[in-house]
Amino acid sequence: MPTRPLQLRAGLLCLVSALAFGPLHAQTSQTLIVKRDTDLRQNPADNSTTVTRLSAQTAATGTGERQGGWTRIRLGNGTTGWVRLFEVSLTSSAPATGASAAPSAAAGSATPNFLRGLGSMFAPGPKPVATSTLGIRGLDANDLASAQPNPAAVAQGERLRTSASDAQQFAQRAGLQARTVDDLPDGRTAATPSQTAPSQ
Amino acid sequence: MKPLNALRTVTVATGILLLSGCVTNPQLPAGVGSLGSTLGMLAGAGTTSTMPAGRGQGNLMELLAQSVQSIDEPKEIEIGRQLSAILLGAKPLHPDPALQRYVNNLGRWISLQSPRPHLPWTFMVLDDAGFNAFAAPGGYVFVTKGLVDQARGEAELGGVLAHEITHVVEKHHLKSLNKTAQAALAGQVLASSLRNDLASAVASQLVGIGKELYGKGLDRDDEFEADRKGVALAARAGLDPYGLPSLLQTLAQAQPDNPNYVLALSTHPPTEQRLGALEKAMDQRLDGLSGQAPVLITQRLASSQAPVASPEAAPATTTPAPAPARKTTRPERKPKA
Repeated sequence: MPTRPLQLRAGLLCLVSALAFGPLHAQTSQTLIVKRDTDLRQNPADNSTTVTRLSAQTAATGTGERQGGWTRIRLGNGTTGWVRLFEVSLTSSAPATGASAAPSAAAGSATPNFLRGLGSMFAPGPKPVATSTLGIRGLDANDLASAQPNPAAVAQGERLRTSASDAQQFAQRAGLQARTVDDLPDGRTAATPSQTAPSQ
Repeated sequence: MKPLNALRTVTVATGILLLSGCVTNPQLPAGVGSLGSTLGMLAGAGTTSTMPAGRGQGNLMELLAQSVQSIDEPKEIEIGRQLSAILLGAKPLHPDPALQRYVNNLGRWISLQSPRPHLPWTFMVLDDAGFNAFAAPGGYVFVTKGLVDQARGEAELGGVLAHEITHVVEKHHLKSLNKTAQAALAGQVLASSLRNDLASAVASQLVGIGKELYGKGLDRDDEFEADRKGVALAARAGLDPYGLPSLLQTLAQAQPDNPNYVLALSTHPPTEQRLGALEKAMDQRLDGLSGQAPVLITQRLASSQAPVASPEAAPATTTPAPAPARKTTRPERKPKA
């Protein structure tokens, strides 16, 4: 269902006040595994104090907070800290190898609702990822195979496109600024890591 | 041009078989005749064709079978249009005009930072609960409502859009179709020469190989390239470069039999491999460009809502001044850890 103005306004107020208190918070926590030996850090930075050393296969739960390439996790004993996003793996399987202290609904078929953050305020209810609702099925290969091409819909979609100048105005309102960024190396070629200065 | 020679050989061999009477069919003489003219068409290097205007798709198939270089931009866009019609035949456009406008704005902004900013980029949200994204040549990019819902913020959605934009920029779909078109045409020449409806049969082949492509996915290397270049592209658009890796983590934890994820999982390399490749490519190169406060999509939608917006007004300039009093949070406000 499209827009619901009153709810949106109310939701926006809650949203703004919640944002004032810091990063997005999880609705529920998510089981994860630390993929390699690493440090749990106090803040999302390499030079931040190490809270504790983590060994590979440590189970933890995600708080749902992300800041750039870092994510905040909670250990079984309740300790929290930051690790790099790439160092953890969200798990979908039921029994975590370690005990996780958080009484989370994340075990087994539970839904990683923290993914939705505050956005779920605007939805009729949390939509689980792990299960599909009766009668609502995502696009699959059969849908593609049996699809009757719909050129009229393409024309309609083309009418909805925005212009370059509209997009630039959007970016300006949104505070998005273009930046110069070097290409990332293709790992298969023997590329020396370039010390690219992340500019402007 | 080796592949074309192979194609010619196949069709000549086919012709010989028919002539020798291995296949009996009352329409055989006419079929052989059209086979001969097909050979002529395929052997020709030109993009023009003797086929009438209504057989446009047949032209495109010929082009696709020849080489990617022979496809100019208008033809590329037309191919993309045909492929887009398949996707929109599978799932309709999402009815929320504000959502379509937002995704077009965000996608178009990102495309402006790409090597092909002047394509007629068209972004569409499909009314589908599944987690999917697609692209078609010429600048058509699709995401499903299900994916938009799972994206935890604008950087994650932007990361996917940048990945799909990269597929178009690098012409991954055209290259893939080039390979399958040759094989498809060879088979079709044989089959339809018996029915003397070669032109229209070839036309439907484009739909056929298009469906096959979306059902199977692109080459692994193309996906890795779209990830790697997509991350850099998103960063060029001012987005947090960790958006795509973060969204891939969502994909990584989906159950393989979850119907909302089946297509995305089956048409891409294993997500853990994609994350591993990205980690290696990114290293800490882009860390200085990340760390902005995540911007919720719902937040963006709410603040950009023009109260009197009509759906058809999309191409016109959106109402600027009064609404942005409630401006979205600026990046300089650092969140506490």
